[in-house]
Amino acid sequence: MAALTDQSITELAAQISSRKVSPVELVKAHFARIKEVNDKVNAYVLLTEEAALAEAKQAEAEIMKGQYRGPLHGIPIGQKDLIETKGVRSTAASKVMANHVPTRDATVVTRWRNAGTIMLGKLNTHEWAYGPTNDSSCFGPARNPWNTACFSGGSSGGSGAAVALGMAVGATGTDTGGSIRIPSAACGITGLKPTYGRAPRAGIFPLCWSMDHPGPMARSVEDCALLLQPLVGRDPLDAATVDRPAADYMGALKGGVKGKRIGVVSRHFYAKADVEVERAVREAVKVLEGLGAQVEEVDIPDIDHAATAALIMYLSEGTAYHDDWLNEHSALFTDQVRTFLELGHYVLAKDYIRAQRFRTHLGQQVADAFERVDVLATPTLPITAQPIGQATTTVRGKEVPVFGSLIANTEPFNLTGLPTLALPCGFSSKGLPISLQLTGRPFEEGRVLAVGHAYQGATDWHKKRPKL
Amino acid sequence: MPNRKPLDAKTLSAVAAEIADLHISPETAKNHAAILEPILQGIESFRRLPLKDVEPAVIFHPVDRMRGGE
Repeated sequence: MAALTDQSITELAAQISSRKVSPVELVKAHFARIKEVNDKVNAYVLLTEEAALAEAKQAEAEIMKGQYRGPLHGIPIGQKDLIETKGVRSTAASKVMANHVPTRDATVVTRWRNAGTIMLGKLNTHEWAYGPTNDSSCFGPARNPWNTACFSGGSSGGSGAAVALGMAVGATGTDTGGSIRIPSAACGITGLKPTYGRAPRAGIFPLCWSMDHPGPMARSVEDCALLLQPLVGRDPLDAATVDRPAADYMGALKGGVKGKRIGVVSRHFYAKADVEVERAVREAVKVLEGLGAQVEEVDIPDIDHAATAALIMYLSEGTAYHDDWLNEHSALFTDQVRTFLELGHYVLAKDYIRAQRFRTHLGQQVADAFERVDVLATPTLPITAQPIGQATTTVRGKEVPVFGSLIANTEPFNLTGLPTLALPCGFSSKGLPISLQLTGRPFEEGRVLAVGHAYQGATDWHKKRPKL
Repeated sequence: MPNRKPLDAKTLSAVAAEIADLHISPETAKNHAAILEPILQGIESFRRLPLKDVEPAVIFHPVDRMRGGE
């Protein structure tokens, strides 16, 4: 039997519900692991050990009385520090919020707590979620568990590193341009950005209201399905949330991939990827084909404009939110985030509206592709994790910007709001993880998870663990 | 075709002060201009996309005050 810090939710839930493992024992095992490895990657920026142990004792008492809540009862998790936690410092990894102690929980925190999870602490993030590396944080960078000289990916980089190293069974992420999927890919774990409006944003500091998506990060598709379940549903505090019945995501996993049509968008997503990345992801698509999927080439004609549209969105909405703090506390922002916020002053309103029109246009083109296929399969990132602070890298002999490359494949699905999963599918020759990205139609999280689960049933990339 | 000149620090400083009420140092203006110029080139190309009949993905909802929370 694997260590308690290396087991899946299903494995742990079976032992917790049958009283073979106590939530107290499980939480203690996780804090021991945190004390062993956190200093090497800087994933947690605040621990809530006393409260977690109290909650674990309460969970244990409930379970002993036969009041088992379900598979998340007693499961230790981490919360991204962009997310407000009542009575627990929540900083967005910014000096601007250095002493901010919220008086409320974000809805995602409440929903996971009601399902029985136990919060171990707050996780590092790129400052205000405004970047894909986690290099810029008032706590210092979160480091990659496969190579600590490299970034963990961002913005939810602490979540990625913590889950990969067994410092949490799962964690929250938020995704505006790829911030769940990028660190999931860089750290070799699985992360799901649900459909826009599926999971509530209330109590989460915004980066870009119209593209912010919260979602789960874990070590397998199955764990993501379990963690997603309680998050979904209408929230009176978030007007973007939708009143649609949630699927049974664990049940949906049985849907498999046989007979599903998988779309490959070579032109944008594969052609600009590092050769090793392209090879690994095409190999993953072959695995899906071997499991009975039909693979078809599709195109999204104007996908190359997605980067510009997304940038206009971040610059406009991000600066609109931070404008007063930028005036009052400019020196408290990290240099990179302050520069991005200042650049937002120069974007014209007509271009912002044009970007919103482009989102409709792009959504229609992607919907056209979904007339022919059920799921799109692409590389999550065109590159692997890079050394912390490195601004450019070389792909197919050309120098490319690291920031732009990291978000090139993820941000089209923030613009379109589609459910998108990142899952491990190999390693580079330098030993850094490579990730497959699966995208479905709106609100078809179940189908995307089913394809990912079938892939993980046939491969063991998601079972590889970093050794520090 | 657009006849825009490449953005320079002087123009950017003027725009920042007059429109954004943002008073920046010459060094910052130079830095911003260097980053913004390629963004503007992308926006120029973006503006040429035929989106005349496409409605923005912003739908107004009259406020219907919601109560509660979790």
